[in-house]
Amino acid sequence: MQQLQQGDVLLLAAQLPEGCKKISAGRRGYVLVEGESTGHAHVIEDIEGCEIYEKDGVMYISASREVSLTHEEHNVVKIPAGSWEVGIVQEYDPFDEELRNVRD
Amino acid sequence: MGSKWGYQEQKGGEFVKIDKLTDEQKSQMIEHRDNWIAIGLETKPANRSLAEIAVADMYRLGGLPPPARIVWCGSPLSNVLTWASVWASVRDSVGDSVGASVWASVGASVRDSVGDSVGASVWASVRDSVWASVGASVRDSVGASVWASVGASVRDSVWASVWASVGASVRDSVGASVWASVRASVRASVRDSVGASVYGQHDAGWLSFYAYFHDICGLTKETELLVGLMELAKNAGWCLPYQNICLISERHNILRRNDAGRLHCVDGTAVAYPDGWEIYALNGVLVTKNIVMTPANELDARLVMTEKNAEVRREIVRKIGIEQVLIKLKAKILDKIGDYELLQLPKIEGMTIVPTYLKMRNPSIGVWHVEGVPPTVKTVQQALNARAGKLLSTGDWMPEQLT
Repeated sequence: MQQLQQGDVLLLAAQLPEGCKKISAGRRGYVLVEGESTGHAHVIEDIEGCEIYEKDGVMYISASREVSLTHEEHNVVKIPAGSWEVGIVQEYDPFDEELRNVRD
Repeated sequence: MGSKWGYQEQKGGEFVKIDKLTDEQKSQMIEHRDNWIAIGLETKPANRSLAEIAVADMYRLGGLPPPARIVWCGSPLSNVLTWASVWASVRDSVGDSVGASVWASVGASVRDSVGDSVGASVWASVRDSVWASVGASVRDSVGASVWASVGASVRDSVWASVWASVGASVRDSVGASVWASVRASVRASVRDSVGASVYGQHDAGWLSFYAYFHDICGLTKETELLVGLMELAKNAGWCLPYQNICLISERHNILRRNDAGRLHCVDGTAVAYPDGWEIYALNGVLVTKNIVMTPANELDARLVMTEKNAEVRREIVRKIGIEQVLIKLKAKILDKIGDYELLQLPKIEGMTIVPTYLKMRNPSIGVWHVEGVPPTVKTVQQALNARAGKLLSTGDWMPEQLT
């Protein structure tokens, strides 16, 4: 399965799950993840031909054309047309001894 | 007949869309952009008289009478804390209605609803190419310089500071068991208070876009509802609009950024307000005063292990230097592929396991990260797979694009 990564955002080619709900775009477009300490965000700004869905807390991208994922510090990732599951990089906390989403 | 604004007047005084900018309008774009960047980054004291007129206009344009009382505060944080204090003391005697935020009328309506309606009016008046051109040359540029670099950080700091102080005081007063049940509602209350702010000078990004059409293209009627907000941005910091009372903040009096325009100061505060509220930041990442003010050779490398935020950890590594971090922590390299190294570090107080970390370089900006991986991991590839978590059900994590 095709894989893409921009910093702590992971994209894996996947089918849209049944029962997923469409999410509306905001002023900036689709914000996949926003950082706590910087205000920086992983964003699809040009949303033409692109829709975002959610199910059980997981986001999915459905793109009928190549779309760009931008971020203030990371280079652009060109997301090919298709459907994608969005993941967040996991890191292990050796104090709590558990995996959790990277916090940034 | 052509108008000086670039659109065509038809019989009956009606206008058709601006289909292109005149050379004169284009020539004013850079100056307009720079003026609005300067507005957003201004560090002079607020012009209080003009700001109060702007607030009255904001209320009026939102369909409300001007606030009977204006309270000046030394910072956006002071706005929020002052309101919390005032409201707590008068709520029982004046009732909820006085304390109702009118952000929906003067904030939401002008920034979002009215913003959208103004947007629709301007959109109806210009061709797509003009809209896109002004958006790219003015709004995006000012927005990147002001909101993305400064405003969002100030908002996050207000949020963190208010949450830290309000949350702590509520926690202390109600006790641990009650705290567990009220935490979410207190958090929502703090968030609402910060979110109810109009960002004044830090709204420069999106306001600059409409100001261009207002000031340069003559679309004064279409953008009229934003005039109060534009004037507030030019004259003050944030404001918290409530029924009958509006709190307005001074502007920051210190603002330091790096060459990339991000909040940054290696030996002092990156942002400060007249009331003494300070924000410390390195390369756009909000950090503690201790991280900034402690010399690199004295900074405790164990912070890399105890800091929970990956970006803050990155800045600690950047300040101390990756090689020094590894030496100070007595790191043992377990595996290596390219820029990746799997490290074993000594157990420190609070840990019951010997921790394993992955050292990696950010391919876009070249800085080093050190992030924890499960202690069962023995190779770099296993570490990368573990970091993909549940997303990866089979095979290895080897992305075709990695930025």
